[in-house]
Amino acid sequence: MKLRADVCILGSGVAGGVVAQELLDAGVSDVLMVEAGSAVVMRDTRTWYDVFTAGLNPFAAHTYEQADYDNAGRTPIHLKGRHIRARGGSTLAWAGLSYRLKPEDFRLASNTGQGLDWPITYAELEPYYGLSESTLQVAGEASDPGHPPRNGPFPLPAFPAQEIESVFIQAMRDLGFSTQHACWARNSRSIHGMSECLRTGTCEYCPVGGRFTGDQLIARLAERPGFRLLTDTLGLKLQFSSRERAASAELVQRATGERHSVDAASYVICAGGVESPKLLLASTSRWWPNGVGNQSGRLGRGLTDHVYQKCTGRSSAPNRGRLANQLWFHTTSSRHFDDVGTQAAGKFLLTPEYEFPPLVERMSEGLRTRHIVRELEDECLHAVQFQLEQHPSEENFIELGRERDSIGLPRTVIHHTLTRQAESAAQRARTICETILAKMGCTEMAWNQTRLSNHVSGTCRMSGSPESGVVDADLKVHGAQNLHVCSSAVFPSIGAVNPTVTIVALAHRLGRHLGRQLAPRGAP
Amino acid sequence: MTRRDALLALLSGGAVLGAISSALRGGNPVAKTIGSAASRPRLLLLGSEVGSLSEHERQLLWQVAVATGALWSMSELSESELRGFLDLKTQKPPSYLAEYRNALRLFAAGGHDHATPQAVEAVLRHPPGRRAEHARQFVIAEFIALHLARGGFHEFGLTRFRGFMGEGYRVSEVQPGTPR
Repeated sequence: MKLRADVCILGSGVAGGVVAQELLDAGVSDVLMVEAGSAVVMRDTRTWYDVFTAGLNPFAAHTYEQADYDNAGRTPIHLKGRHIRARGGSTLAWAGLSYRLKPEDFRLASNTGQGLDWPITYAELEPYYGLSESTLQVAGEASDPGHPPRNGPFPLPAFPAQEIESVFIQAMRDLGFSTQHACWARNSRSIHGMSECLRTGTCEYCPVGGRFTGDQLIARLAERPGFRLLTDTLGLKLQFSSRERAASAELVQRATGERHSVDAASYVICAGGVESPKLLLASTSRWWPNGVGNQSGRLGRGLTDHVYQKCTGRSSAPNRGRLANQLWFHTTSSRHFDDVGTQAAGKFLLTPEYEFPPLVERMSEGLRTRHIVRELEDECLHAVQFQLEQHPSEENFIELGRERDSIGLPRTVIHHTLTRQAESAAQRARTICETILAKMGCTEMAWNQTRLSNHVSGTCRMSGSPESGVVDADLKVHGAQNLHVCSSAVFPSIGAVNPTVTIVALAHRLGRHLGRQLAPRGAP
Repeated sequence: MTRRDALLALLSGGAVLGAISSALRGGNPVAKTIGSAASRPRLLLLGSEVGSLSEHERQLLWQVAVATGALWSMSELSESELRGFLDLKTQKPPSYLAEYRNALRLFAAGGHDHATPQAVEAVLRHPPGRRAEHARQFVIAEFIALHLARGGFHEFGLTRFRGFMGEGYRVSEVQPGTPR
């Protein structure tokens, strides 16, 4: 079947949703969105019960399977359980941390001699960060130390720090390290008709929509004329009518195998850090024999991710007040080591973390109240976690596998090995975390395994020239006139913080840019 | 939407009887970590068999829930919420229908017309065989989680617990900021 649209957006995550919203706001009258996954029922009571009484992952059927990807490097990135392929994208299951990058993050090469500068500055992106925080309903405190320059408050007030974090905050003060209220895309107050966060501690599946998830945005778009969404539909390839012009997108409906072709004036790939480069790599033609935008050989390369690790220590003071993590999320963080002075070595974000009282497990073993209370009082564990920037490396990349994955897309082959810079920065971060825990009165410190945050970035990076990247400062694929990419794939570097608020800022910027180009004259 | 509206909407029939997530369709859940790994059942019994419990079975399961709560002096869970919980767990896949009937047969085999705290404790401490392991994991442990979420955590001196919807939380006396 032949379909037509003004703009075809591939991917229904928050980036695609924001681009679509901006296009419709600008007066573009026909936006077609394509999503490989299905719709997930959110705010469903049975699912919620299964989360907190049975410990189930509500998105288990909507994520990658182990057989969908291979890790060919020494430090594997596990897509299973973390990347969601469903209507609304991975923010269905995200934590919601929403920190802006800092001005120096846009100048990694200039400041450190490593990686690549962004072809835009923080100042250029700042107004769009404001829009992004509004879209994501971010709660934060603008007067806290550690924020980059900003024009205005957060849309929602920060969650006050909870009692158990006083030990961390005090230790940080004593050491001369600044702290700030955590910035969460969680509703510290009711907003957009959605409930306030009810602090249920079941954030992986909020029963009331108390934090931003991508489905909320798609639901609002679905009510607007001019917006269409095809779910369960794979984007296989882009066809070009000349080297500069994408002519159609080849789609296949998963259930029926029916083929579709979309003719659009413009195409926007919003398929995340993994699938965006894969679609470009799969779109070979006589004009683009190695994949679209791959004249430099850099498509899929420059892959990076955040590295995180947690250290737990046993407090020497008994926990007579039975303090525990009341919210099941932290309310304090520190960007003290996320500054220009630490950029060359590797910036990192610090957060206090806590083990949760394993009440259900203890009670299911038949232990009575006095035993459990004694354990709660005796066992006071504190933890500090770092998340650090790994500078991009050309040796880390994504490529297409030969076979198809479980939903019919090419399998993913990930080549990722932790860089020396990241290993060295992690060692420094470990020393600092242990210093903080010692100041908190903790001993018997134990580290969990180093992990990756699954903020896969850099695989279609922005650059000022086709020789050094895949897309330009406007996110247009170098050499193509009507093809853009918007996701963490375009980040030349990732800083120390979670990427979503920056992805959404770029989506607002791209949507407005395209809206000006594509909307009929006289449109609002 | 106010906090009260949200809570009422969530616990009302409309939300409760809404379509179950397709995430759960067709698959049996993996158990959470209770008991030793070797003894832990991983799949529901006959999870695809949906249906309704009889009124008598619901009453007996309410007695199991009451007896479970009594072991730790937890009594905030209401019969109406448990009934809604049981309906949701049995009328859509993966269904707990066979799990609940298995648990009731277990207590009946032990000579209990209705579950007592002692009978529940015996299952928890010395689960004799696969049937009891299933009852412990898929029935009693989940009832415990439900009790805790409805306020049972107060018995342990905690301020909140997973699944609890309530006002506020205890705030730190010292708030984040620049070191002095």
